Amino acid sequence: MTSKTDVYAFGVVLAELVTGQRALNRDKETNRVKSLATTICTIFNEQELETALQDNTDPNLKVRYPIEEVYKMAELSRWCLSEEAENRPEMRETVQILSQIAMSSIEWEATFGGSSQKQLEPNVPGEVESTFTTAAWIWCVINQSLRASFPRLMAGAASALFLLDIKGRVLIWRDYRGDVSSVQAERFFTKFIEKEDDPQSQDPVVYDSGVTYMFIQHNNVYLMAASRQNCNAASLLLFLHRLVDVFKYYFEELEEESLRDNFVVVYELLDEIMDFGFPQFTEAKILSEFIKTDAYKMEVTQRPPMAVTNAVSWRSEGIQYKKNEVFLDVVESVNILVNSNGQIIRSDVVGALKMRTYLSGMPECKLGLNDKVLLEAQGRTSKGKAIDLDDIKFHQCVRLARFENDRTISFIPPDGAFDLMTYRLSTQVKPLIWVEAQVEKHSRSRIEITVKARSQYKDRSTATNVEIELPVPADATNPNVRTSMGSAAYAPENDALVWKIKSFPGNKEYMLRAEFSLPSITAEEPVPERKAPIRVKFEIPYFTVSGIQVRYLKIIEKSGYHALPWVRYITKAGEYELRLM
Amino acid sequence: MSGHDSKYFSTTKKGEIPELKEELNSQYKDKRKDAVKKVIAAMTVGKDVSSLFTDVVNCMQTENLELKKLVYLYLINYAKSQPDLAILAVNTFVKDSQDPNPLIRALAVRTMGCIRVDKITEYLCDPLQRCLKDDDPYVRKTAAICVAKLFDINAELVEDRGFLDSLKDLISDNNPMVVANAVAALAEIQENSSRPIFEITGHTLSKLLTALNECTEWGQVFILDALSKYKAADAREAENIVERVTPRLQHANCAVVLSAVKMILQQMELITSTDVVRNLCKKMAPPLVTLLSAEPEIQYVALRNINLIVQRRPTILAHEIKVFFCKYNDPIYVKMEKLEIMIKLASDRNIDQVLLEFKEYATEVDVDFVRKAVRAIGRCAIKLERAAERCISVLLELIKIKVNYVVQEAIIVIKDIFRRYPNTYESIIATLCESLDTLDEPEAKASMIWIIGEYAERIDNADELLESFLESFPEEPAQVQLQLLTATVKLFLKKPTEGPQQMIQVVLNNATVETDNPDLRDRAYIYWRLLSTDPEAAKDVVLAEKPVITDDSNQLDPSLLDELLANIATLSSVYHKPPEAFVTRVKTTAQRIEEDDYPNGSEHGYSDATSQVADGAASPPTTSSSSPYTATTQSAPPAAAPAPAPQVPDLLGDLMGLDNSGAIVPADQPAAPSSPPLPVLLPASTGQGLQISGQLTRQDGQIFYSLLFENNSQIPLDGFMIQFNKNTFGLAAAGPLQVPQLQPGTSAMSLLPMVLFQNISAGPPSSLMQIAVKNNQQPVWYFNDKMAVNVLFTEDGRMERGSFLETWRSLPDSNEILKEFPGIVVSNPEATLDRMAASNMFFIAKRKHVNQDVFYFSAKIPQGVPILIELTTAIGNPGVKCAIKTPNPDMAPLFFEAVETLLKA
Repeated sequence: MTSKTDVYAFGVVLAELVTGQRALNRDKETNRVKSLATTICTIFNEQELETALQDNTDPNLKVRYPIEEVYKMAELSRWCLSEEAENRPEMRETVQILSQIAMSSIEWEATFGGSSQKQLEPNVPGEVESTFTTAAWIWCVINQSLRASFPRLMAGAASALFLLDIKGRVLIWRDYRGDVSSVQAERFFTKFIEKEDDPQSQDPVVYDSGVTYMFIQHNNVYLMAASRQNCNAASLLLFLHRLVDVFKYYFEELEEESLRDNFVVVYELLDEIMDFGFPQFTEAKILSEFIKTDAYKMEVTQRPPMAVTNAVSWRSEGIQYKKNEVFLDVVESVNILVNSNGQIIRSDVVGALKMRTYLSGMPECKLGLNDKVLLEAQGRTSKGKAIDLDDIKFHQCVRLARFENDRTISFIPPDGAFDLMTYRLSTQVKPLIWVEAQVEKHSRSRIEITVKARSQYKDRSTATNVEIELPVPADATNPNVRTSMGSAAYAPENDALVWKIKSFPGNKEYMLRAEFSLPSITAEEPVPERKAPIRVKFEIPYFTVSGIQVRYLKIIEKSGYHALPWVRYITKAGEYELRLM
Repeated sequence: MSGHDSKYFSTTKKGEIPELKEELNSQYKDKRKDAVKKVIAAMTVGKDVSSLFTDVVNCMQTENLELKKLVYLYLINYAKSQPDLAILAVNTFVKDSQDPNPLIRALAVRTMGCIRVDKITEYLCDPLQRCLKDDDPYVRKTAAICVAKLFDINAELVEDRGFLDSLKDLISDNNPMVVANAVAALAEIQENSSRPIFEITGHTLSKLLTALNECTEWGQVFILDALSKYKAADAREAENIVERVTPRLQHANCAVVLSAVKMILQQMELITSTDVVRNLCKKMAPPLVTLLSAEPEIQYVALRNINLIVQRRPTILAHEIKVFFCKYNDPIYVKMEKLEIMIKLASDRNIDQVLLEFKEYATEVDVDFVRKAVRAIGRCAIKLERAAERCISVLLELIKIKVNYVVQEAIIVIKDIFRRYPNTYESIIATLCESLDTLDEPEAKASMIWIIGEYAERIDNADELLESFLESFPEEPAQVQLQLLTATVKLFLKKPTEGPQQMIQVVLNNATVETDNPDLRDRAYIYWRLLSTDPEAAKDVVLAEKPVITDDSNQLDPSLLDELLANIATLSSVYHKPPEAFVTRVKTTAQRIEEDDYPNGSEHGYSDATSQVADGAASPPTTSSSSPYTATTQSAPPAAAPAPAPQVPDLLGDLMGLDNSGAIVPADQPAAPSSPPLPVLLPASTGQGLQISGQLTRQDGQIFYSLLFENNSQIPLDGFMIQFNKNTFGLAAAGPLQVPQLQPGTSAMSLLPMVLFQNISAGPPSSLMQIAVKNNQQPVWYFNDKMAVNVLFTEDGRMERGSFLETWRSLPDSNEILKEFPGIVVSNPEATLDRMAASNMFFIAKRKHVNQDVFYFSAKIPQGVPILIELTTAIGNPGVKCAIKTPNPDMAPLFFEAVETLLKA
């Protein structure tokens, strides 16, 4: 007796399962006892294997099986029934194969998406009755494991919100649904950040034993939402970012200390901005009207401001200013990516209309831009340059349906600072500041960098606070830099040389020459070097790339005051990257 | 506005709890408040302060809102551990819910809903009822959510007390925030209930679309998500909906934008006008691009979704590939996703630029990113035939850098390129061999060994190269061992000299005796027997021509893609998995199913409700009367008198194109499908009353599966889905099966569009198709169908005489297979030719041979495989000889079947 004898026995059981026959049965014609093992072997000797197999498969299974899986099971049975004991598989191998069979039949059916809530009963009593075989039962189990799932879950909400420190320990948390505990979340998250160097695990959406964690980082704090449902990931992640804004509004800066110092308010806020895991309200300014920190405790209006539930949820009524003013900054960021051939492969402009309003009452505002679509619709193309904006995004105060209708930008603004609209322009722009760098590596001793920076805008404009960050090898030492304008400083912590020019008028060219020593010993194996691009920062006031113009900003309030808008234009560098040649 | 609460964390160490207890019972208000703050601080750092329950609850009756909130917070945390004491708080809750201050009323209801203690829940009902009708919208919006909370704790209570109706009333509330929360609550309840609770009718739809304009941003997300489940009745309604949703694309909130995109994509499926669709695609592109300027975490979600969107609608972002180029500071998870999308958008037009980018990435420092970039180059080579050469030269340049993992990754993809374009790029093998000794990863090693084995005859020192691996054979991972085994056998078959012979001894010995890996051992035994019995047969087997691989660049299964697209913005779309794959919440509401207190398919619009409940919005449309592929027939009940003469043309027949004569149904026939009956695939006796008949058909160059479902059971059946197992031609459904709910005694026809080459099964060709069909009420039914291969014949199968002859000659004689059909008589050759032509078998020529006629036909199956047919027969006499010549002679038996059927007809 060996363990392989058991394997043989198991093979017989498998054969019984597949065929639904007894291990030994009497052949009616010959009246001789025939073993099932022989039957299995004959099946595999048949020419028409598939038909033979089908003919011998348990009739109680009806046609409800994938033939391939039955084949695999019969094959396994035959393997177990091998004449020579040493040819039979080990038991652990059979387990492996069986689980593969189970898996692949699940895989086959997975595209169905088990969706019925009722547990299926593949074997209706009376139909299969006493001959209910184990094989049918196995299919039944496989099927049910699929079908035991739940309705397709679509809506969903967060189970809990966590504020964690840099090591992943819970600072404050708010439980909304009672199905994710802080211990569970903390255990997962501390482990998760430990293995941070694995990039796969750095996704901001992570699944761990039934729970999805979504997180963002701000300073030394992680903000994390946990959910057991198929929740709206975009909405929750954005909500976490808004949460940062709210906390920043309340505590000036969001960090571990400020959370501790204000934990009472934090709890109050977490209670108000989310209910049962549904984001509710994230307008910091309005929140601060009824959730106060100690400093402002005195004037108590402990009622929910109308704004919370109003259609105008971003502004309270009864605001009063002595002097009614509006400041409108048009800020354009130029994003550019130049590849190592000096080719511009991407360039776009992202603009924002940043507003600060100090207006009394509920002012109705109307903003007019030199929007090409609008001007053409009105048949006024002659006056100046009209621009074509690619994708406009509005603050929620702007009436989108109205804009869609007649391109009118009308709104009741929030009080204070906000971004009224952002837009994007994907037309090719000429790089405002062009930087060319030549790097000469003298074998294993020193490196020479020559940089030319050229301003490509009109003479009357001037860029300020220009900062050109040049990547340098990590092992470079002894910098020796000369510039024709501005000053350069070596920043070894960023492996970069930073060249600062306070004022850079249009159509000018400046130079920089730098020399570094390199260590003479290098690694044998070629290791790729970090290839950071040249990055440029600058600001050009009174200038926009797009040529956008605010034609008017009308402010109408029922008290009839006059308010003057102040408009400023500025262009600055966004993601401005030039790869080294 | 900074506070100084941190002082509450530093309490005196000794006797903390008794001290707090004392302070909580102090007669001074301020001291009590400080004490509660200390308790909360202790709770925050995880100390157990539940023993102070009574003392804290005593502080609950206070005018101070801040203190009240803190006590409530404490209650939420500890009520569960002290259920009996929690009752103490009920009175205050009930009182607070009637407070003149709406903040306090809302607070009370909100908090009570969070206390998951059964005893308290009962007391919640009355206050909740009141608050749902409160004058103040702030209270109503809180109460709306509270209904969902209550449902989560005790679903029966919610239904018994009529909260669902109150909640539904709130959909018509005049306050948008209340409406939004009611929608969120109803959607949540619907999901956890098996009954139809929240159904979006045309009426609610228009109300909600109006509310959309005034809601907070989060409310807009709730509403859009809920509405995306709505199935428009027809293209016009879909267009109307889309028109009202598109302004949302301009919203600054990315979640609103994504949910709007989801809804538009859903409705677009119904819109038939190509102009409208094109226009919508144009409108959606800029907002999608702008999502990439959002915070990196949002970008990640957006990219995962864009990945899905471009699979369904590649044109949307076809010209925007540049925005997916990686920026230096992008987090790695964003870069990885961008790479995926770059591969998907790569085309002959932009490949040069894309390759330049990939090359740039391949020299960065992040190892995983670099590997993915190298792989991306390979995938582009496989996807774009015309760019393959450029891709390879980039790969070779990268190999020259000699960075270990770049080389290994490059070799892996080059192997795939060889398999995609056999006999094209083998000239680079020499370069590859140079890097042989740097390989240390199993996959790279296995790939290299495969290349050596496959091209042994072109590599002079192939035996030496392989031999160098053999020494370490026992230590190699299984993957490498398997490849070594096969490669050695190939080498031996190609160069049967002494060296390889010795090698093969060593390998076979190692692989049979000294291993316990069954895969390896079995493969070795097969080779061994093959080699020892019939080396020629071994050659045929081992050196057989391999099928060319295709580019599947991680394409998702169409039905899964449908489901994921319906789930845009949700976790499902981030994971690329259906929700049930990761949602694990176990619900207790299932007990309600047993109660048959609602009729299935009553006229209250519940007809497809059960399917909607079960499938949620994520399911492919199971009911859609406007679908071009669906038609329902209500066969007359058996006992009823013959139906009055239907004076309508047989729409069904026309629609389905089944009835070629286009005849009008004779008046005395019952309104049943007039086309020839479809073969029964699943008899009613097997299918618990469900009978399925079906047949493959070909119409306008597309293959359809024409299916008839007959419900002879006692219950309505719905939620039909279909799945095809792997088969020789990889036939699979191109879309979801569209079958409406089937009432007992009714039937439905469905014309299911099919696609080829989805899930190709290996092994000998077979015309057998395995099909599984399921519905919500019955188990899965498996059945088989024999496909009529002639549906595969394409319309462009006609050949010029010249090219026919040329093809015939170019194919070796071994590719010609003969078969006789002794019983068949061809008496009317013209009719036969017509029939053949209708099946895309085109007549080429005819010649006389003795007293027999010889006919030649050409046909083509997809991927351009020609089939040349020769029929020899004496007109009017039984017996037809059929010869078929094709590059794939192993498929000939299938074609014989097709020819035979046509001749017999």
